[in-house]
Amino acid sequence: MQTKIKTYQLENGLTIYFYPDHTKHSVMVHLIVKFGGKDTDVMIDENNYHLPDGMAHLLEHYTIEQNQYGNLVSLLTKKFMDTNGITNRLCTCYYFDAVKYIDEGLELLIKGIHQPNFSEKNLEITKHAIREEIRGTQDSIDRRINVLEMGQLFCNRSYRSTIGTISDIDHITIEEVEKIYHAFYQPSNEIIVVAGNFQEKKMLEKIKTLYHELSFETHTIKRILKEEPTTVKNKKAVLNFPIARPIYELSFKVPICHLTEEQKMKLDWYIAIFFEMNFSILSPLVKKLKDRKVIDKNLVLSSNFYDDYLIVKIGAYTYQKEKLQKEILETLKHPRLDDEVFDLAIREKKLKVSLRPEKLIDVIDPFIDNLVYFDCPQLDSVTYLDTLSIQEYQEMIHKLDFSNYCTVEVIDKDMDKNQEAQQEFIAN
Amino acid sequence: MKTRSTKKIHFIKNEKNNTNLIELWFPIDSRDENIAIRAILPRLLLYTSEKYPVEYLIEREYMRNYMLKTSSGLEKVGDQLLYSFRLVIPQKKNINDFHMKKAIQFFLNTIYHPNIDTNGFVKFEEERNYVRKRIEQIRKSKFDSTVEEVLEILDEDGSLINSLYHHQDQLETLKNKDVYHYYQKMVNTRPFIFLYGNEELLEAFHLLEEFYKEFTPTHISFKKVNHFLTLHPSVKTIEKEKPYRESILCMAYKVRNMKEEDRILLRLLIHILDSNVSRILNEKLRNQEKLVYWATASSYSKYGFLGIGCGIYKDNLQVTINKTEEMFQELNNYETISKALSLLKERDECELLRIKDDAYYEYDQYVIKYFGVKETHAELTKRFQQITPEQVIAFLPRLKLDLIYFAKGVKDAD
Repeated sequence: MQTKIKTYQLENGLTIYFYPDHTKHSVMVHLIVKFGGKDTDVMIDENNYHLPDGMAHLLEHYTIEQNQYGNLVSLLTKKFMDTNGITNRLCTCYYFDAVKYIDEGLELLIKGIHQPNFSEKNLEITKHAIREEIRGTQDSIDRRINVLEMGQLFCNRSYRSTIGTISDIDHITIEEVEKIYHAFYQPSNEIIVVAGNFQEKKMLEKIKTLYHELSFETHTIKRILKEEPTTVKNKKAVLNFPIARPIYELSFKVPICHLTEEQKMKLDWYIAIFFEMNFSILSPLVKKLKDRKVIDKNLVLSSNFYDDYLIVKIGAYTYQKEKLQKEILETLKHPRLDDEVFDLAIREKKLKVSLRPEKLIDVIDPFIDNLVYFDCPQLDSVTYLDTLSIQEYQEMIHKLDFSNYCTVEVIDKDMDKNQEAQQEFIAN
Repeated sequence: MKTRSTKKIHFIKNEKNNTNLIELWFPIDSRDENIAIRAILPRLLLYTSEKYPVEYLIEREYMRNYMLKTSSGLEKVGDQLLYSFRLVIPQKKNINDFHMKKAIQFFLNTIYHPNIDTNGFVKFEEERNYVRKRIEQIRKSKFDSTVEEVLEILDEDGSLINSLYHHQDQLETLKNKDVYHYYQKMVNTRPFIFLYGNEELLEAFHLLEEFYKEFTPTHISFKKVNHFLTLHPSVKTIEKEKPYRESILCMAYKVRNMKEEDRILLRLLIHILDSNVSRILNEKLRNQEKLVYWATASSYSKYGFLGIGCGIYKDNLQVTINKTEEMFQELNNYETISKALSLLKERDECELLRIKDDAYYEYDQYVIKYFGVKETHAELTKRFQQITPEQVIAFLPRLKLDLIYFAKGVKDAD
């Protein structure tokens, strides 16, 4: 029987989740702040603010590096912990994984994050590190494609880049950083998740005590979600990049404002099954595309939730982008419904979910995803998967609108070589 | 040298996990002329079979049987190469309609009844093309291609470049029948058989015992081998233009008169330079001198060298080299080494506890101990604990810069 999650809500608004597992040696602590890369339009105490891309990520760096105790990553790793901070579009997450010095780690993490030293000098030091990080991503093909796609898909909202550009970072002021920090880094906007081998009562008391020793400003915060048309901003883009073969990707902007958070969580499972049925190795489409040498590897598939839109990406290495596009669009117009594949997909997911307790992170990461993306503090389970049905699947998928999309084509500047290789590829 | 027989079926009990594991290790021909065969063969076996000649059919069968796809790996044990085929299956407590016998039979069929015709493997050309494209992609990858280029320059006996990346010509001249002959030789050998899990695996034990009863056991000798590189009298410098924005500097430091007992010191030195508790390399080049975007140190102890790689601005080449040399000189300090060693020793004790949480820790250590060529994690930790600062200080002057490789970017990233 799977261990259950235990929930606690403190008076200060902090939410705590515990997942005890005494078969393990380690303890994993996540501190999650509900402020992420997509939070560029916010209201703080009735005042509107438009923030540059990269603010949440900068704050992550700042709180780790410029607090009263020193660089938290250095301090925690010196206590033999695995640790880091991660910013995604929805939240900023600080974590450590330890087998000893748990209390010290907890104190450093909670107090360190909540006691930054604000100064121009510290901001410039932080900016320097981030500029280097941004430069390092310029040779990452996945990042480059993603930034391009998000800029094409959305007209009024900025989901482009959680780390921002160098220009974005250069324009951030210390006053802005301080203001945003005090607004969003407060207990009512935070979650703590603890998993592993720990004593629950002692841990709860420790967390309460640590937060009690801190002081917080009180602000009302609201995220402003700009109106966003269902149409895309730009339909096509071409990216020059050193690459062995061209990549072609379609990104679909699928409206989902009609769904509740719980329905979105279900849709997350059903989209995976939708991919299996229509775009995976199990589908006739992929066999057809391989037989006709349109692709030689499987399609690359992803889906992500962006507030009231689901972004679905389907792409491949190919020299025949028109054929690929035609087949993908045709399949989306007339998707398959295969009872057997549905059943097999559920089996596969049940198997994978039942494996997760072997590794703490495999349990906690999907739990945090459910929490952050769908506001559902729920462990994935075999029992939950048994509630999924092909009828419900059909209903949900049928309502999705794939008519709005953009394309990105990635080619190498050296076009002659590409064309030679293309002829050889088709001949083979 | 250890000699092992494939006669026994090893059953390692484990009640903690939610899964059971079955792994077969096939001794194979390890000559360099068969590099391309070894690269292509596992995919020919696992992605289609005689009964399921199309990928989507075999994929369905995996899912139908609640099986994670069989994975395979090329394992180097001393001077021998083996193919490992791993099957992970659920326990009935979690998936009560899982059928052990069907799963094992399916697993064995993928290996022993491949998708062949009179010419050999049906999917030979398709898989050859797939592997070809993968190598081309690696050649375009900034980090992977840089590492391979450096290894090629350092190599002296073929051991650093015994990958398909450096032998792609083999792929072009490879014949289907040669792959098939290699395969036949492999499957006619009884493999090493390992089972790891709960009492449900007894059924697998009996099935495998029955299946392999006619196979003659083989005896394989495993010998530890090193390929210590020659230290040259002067530093070799190579510069290449690259289409990337970021420039990469690689430096190889070889050990004078390298011996087997030096390997642990070389590995320890990497942890002193670039680990979570001791980050002397990044402290120097990034934080103090602000010369690099990133810096990393790697140990190639079997070859007797230490590699340093970093992303730099184009014009900072010479100053970065100078500061790295300066770092090694500054490292030659009893207090610095003593402090780092103390932290690393405590860290290793923590790591040993942490990796015991790994689902297959006990299994991995059992296999290592059985083949007897490498040390187990616990043995290695014990040896680390015994190293003194004096030993490290005595070792440092034997490290010499031997190669500088500069992959010069198009322009500095902005």
